[in-house]
Amino acid sequence: MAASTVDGEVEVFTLPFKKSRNLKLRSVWGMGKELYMFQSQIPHKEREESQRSSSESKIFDVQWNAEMHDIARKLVNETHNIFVILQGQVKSLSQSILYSQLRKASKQYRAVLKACSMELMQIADSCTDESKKLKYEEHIQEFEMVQLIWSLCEILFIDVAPGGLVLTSLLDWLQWHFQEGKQLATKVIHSDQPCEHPQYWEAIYRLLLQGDTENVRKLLALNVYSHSDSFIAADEVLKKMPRWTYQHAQSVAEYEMKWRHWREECVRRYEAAQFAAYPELETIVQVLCGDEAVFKDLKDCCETWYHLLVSKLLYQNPTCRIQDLTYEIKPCQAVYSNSSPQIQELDNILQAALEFDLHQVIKDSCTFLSNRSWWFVSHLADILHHCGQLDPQELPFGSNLREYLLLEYATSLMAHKSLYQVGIDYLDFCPVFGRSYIEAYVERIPLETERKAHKILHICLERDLLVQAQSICKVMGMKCLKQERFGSALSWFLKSKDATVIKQVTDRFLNEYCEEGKFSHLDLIDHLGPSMLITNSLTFLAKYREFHTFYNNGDVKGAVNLLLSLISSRLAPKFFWMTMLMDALPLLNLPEVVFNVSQTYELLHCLEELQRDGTSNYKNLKETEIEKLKLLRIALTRNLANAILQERSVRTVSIS
Amino acid sequence: MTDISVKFVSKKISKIRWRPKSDVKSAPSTIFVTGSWDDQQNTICVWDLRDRIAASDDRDDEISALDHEPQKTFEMPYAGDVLDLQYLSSNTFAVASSTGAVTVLKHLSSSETLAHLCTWDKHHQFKTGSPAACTCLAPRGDEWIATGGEDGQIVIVALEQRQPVQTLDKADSCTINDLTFLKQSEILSVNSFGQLKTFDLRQDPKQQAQIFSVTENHTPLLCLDKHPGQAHIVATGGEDGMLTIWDLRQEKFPMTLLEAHTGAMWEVKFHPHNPNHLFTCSDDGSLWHWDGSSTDPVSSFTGTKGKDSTRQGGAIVSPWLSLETSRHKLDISSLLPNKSLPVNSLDIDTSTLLCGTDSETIYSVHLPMLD
Repeated sequence: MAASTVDGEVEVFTLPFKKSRNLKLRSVWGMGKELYMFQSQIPHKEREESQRSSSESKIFDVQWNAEMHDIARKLVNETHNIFVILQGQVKSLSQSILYSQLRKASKQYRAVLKACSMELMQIADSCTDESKKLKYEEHIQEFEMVQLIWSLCEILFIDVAPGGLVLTSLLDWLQWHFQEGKQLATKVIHSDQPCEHPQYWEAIYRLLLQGDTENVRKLLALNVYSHSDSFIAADEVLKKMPRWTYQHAQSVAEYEMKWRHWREECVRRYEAAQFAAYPELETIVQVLCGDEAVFKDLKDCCETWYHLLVSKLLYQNPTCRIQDLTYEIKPCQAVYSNSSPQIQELDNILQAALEFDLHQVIKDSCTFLSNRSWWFVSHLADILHHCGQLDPQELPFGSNLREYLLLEYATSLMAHKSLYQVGIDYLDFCPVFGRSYIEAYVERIPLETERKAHKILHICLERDLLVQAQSICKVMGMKCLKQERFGSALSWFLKSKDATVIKQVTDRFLNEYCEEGKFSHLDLIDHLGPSMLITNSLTFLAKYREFHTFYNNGDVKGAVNLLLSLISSRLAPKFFWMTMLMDALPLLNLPEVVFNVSQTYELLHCLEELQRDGTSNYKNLKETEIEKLKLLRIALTRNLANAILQERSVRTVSIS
Repeated sequence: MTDISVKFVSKKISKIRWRPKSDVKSAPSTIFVTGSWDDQQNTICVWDLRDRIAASDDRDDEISALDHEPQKTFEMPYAGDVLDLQYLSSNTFAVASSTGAVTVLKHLSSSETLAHLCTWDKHHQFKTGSPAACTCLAPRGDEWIATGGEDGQIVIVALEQRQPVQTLDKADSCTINDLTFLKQSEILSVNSFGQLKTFDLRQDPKQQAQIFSVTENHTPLLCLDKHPGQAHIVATGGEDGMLTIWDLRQEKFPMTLLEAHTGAMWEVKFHPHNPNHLFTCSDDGSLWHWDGSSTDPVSSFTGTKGKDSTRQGGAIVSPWLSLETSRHKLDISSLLPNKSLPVNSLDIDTSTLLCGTDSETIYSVHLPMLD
């Protein structure tokens, strides 16, 4: 039985089964996250079979986590394309080109995420139903967290900055995910008297902590005292702040020197009390100087420890390497003590990322975020795997982490009514277990219409799953048989080339002919072509129709020969022999002798065999038919006599 | 070159159709409808592709990105998979369902919504009484609809009339996959046994069908379309992805086989005004444009003379019938950027091609050459 991997979140469903001592609950797996539950008797020793089936047996179809909102489906389908193209590139491209493609794919995934979360926001805004709105907001929060983690992982593991100078990307990360400062600034600017706005300084601090000095200067310029010396001095230091960019061909050492000079200037001006008149300006310059205490004071403008971490690095150690990040975590976390438990989970994931413990990142994300969807972990793990960041070693279950996660994701897709095609595409890229998963799933997809059956068949044939393809044809054929659609049944069985089931259909055709004296499915039978060679029963059917054609066209010789070869080949089912013998009757009664001696014996043999068998068909014959049989016997005898006479006369002539 | 827009719609699209414009002179319609399949709750949606008229012009930057994408203007639930959808007139269309029902819906002129006009429940049934999927339908004018089903029956109904006008209860021993009116009283259908049949509705029911088979291995034929100008030219698509062009005037060897897709062909369509162009889409995820215009011996009328061999009894020979001799000139191009999940349906009106897929997308492709 499936044990939930999510600790602490156990949900209990009660199924309305009758309790009984000798009944126990059993289950069979359905598609992905689906179980069929039913009761069955505990098999007592030597109990009779018939008692087992209780008349009130019910089967419950239990599904979990299978539903998906529209935007999630959009995410699934849009990223499916990116995934498949990327897997193709993994196979075909050289390592160096592949890395750039992996970076591109990572960004594409994030772009889709962003678009989806924006669309969700739009929907949530226009939603009037409170409970629905709440649900949408939950989804939005999840999307936002996923993006936050993903883009951090991208900076640290996928799109690693040359030389390991990580700060520029981290600042982008902040500005992308923490937009409070920018929004506040816009609000302030658009108010009547910006500098009187209660959040004027907060906006400035927030922007400053994200290194957005441009906008800080703009805001400061709006102050009524902006022409005072202090403001001019502050503007100057802000303007002079050196920036690290890849584009300018400057070395790290050069940049470090510039930065040190600049900071010395800040400290000097601060100590010279140039800003003393305005405490807020002093705070700003303290930040520029990298003063430890001031960051603690501004902790509310950072909101989280990781924001604080980046802000501190910006003003204390802008050339920090990617490896240095680990040491900064603890002091920053210490500044914030109490936070809600859910955020705690996110904190842990980000912390693990900054500590380069990728497996922890994935493990925590699995338990925390994958409750609804494995999308995030599986796609991230796939990219990290191809980047060589994941341990490729085999896990106890038989393959690596990437495959484990992809299998989980694919399973969740298979559980959905209409996303199985996407699921199968993901399974295609699971080298160890993918194929056996597809084999198991593809036979369980319900086949409601013929069109769907064609699609599933194509899925099988594309992957050379011949056994499964056959079973689909057989299932469809049997379904048709039950609905008494013999033509469609035959068309499906012809595909699976299964002689026994084809015989079932042809027997039905022959039966119908026995009963009604004509065939109904002539558009198929007369157009079998080479397909009639697939099984004996089809060959017989087609040839028997040919006999009719000969007979109707007056080709007596052809008809006689064909009928005889059909009878002597013993291809026909026993119940049909009588019919064939009866077919001979009009031929026997022709004025000329058309059956020679040995041919007549052949017919007699057949008749004898039938009578000796005493088959039920023969016993159950009606009066009229028994009468006909008598006629047949008489006709045969008369024909034999005539044939003997004729043949002997021929011999006499030849002797003389 | 072509430009393409993609819209993810969160439902697998089984049919997509342009709404015909109300009269010849009016501007091309920007409205189209889609039907979904294989979902918990299938739907029929109405969409508006606002910028299609201006598609080739230089636009102002002010036209928002939203105009490139079709916008959903109406959505209604529908029972069962939508297996076919055809317009009867510019206001009404009929929908075939896997539940065996056929529904006629109407665009309301006052709003963007749809109104229900009539439904035939359990329109198709097996002998056992269980419902049979209605797989296809074809309108004749705006009054009659012929439907085909998995039960092998062809039923003809008239709008606002409960009882069928005519039922061909043994039209086919297999599933009928597509049908169309060839003439007023002649129906053409394809089935799962690889046969093309013509039925004359005026004749005795037992001798109605004329049967043509494509191949000897009975690969199902899934879709068909008749040439808009010359009704004896018919294109069909098979489960093996093969395109077949038929000349129904020929008694012997009426068809030309063209290898096309690697998966089942779900829809084939001649361009309604420019029938030298043909479009096909397939289960293998591709959408193809077959351009026969360069093989057309009389594409420019200036070159033709009365005794020209390309004229037979005054009729102009279509490039589709001279493929055997000039196949190398047939221009085939693939229209979608990458192969993905099955493309189920397509429709084209002037220069804008629409298609709907199992990746839950609607593509609209602008083909400037057809402007």
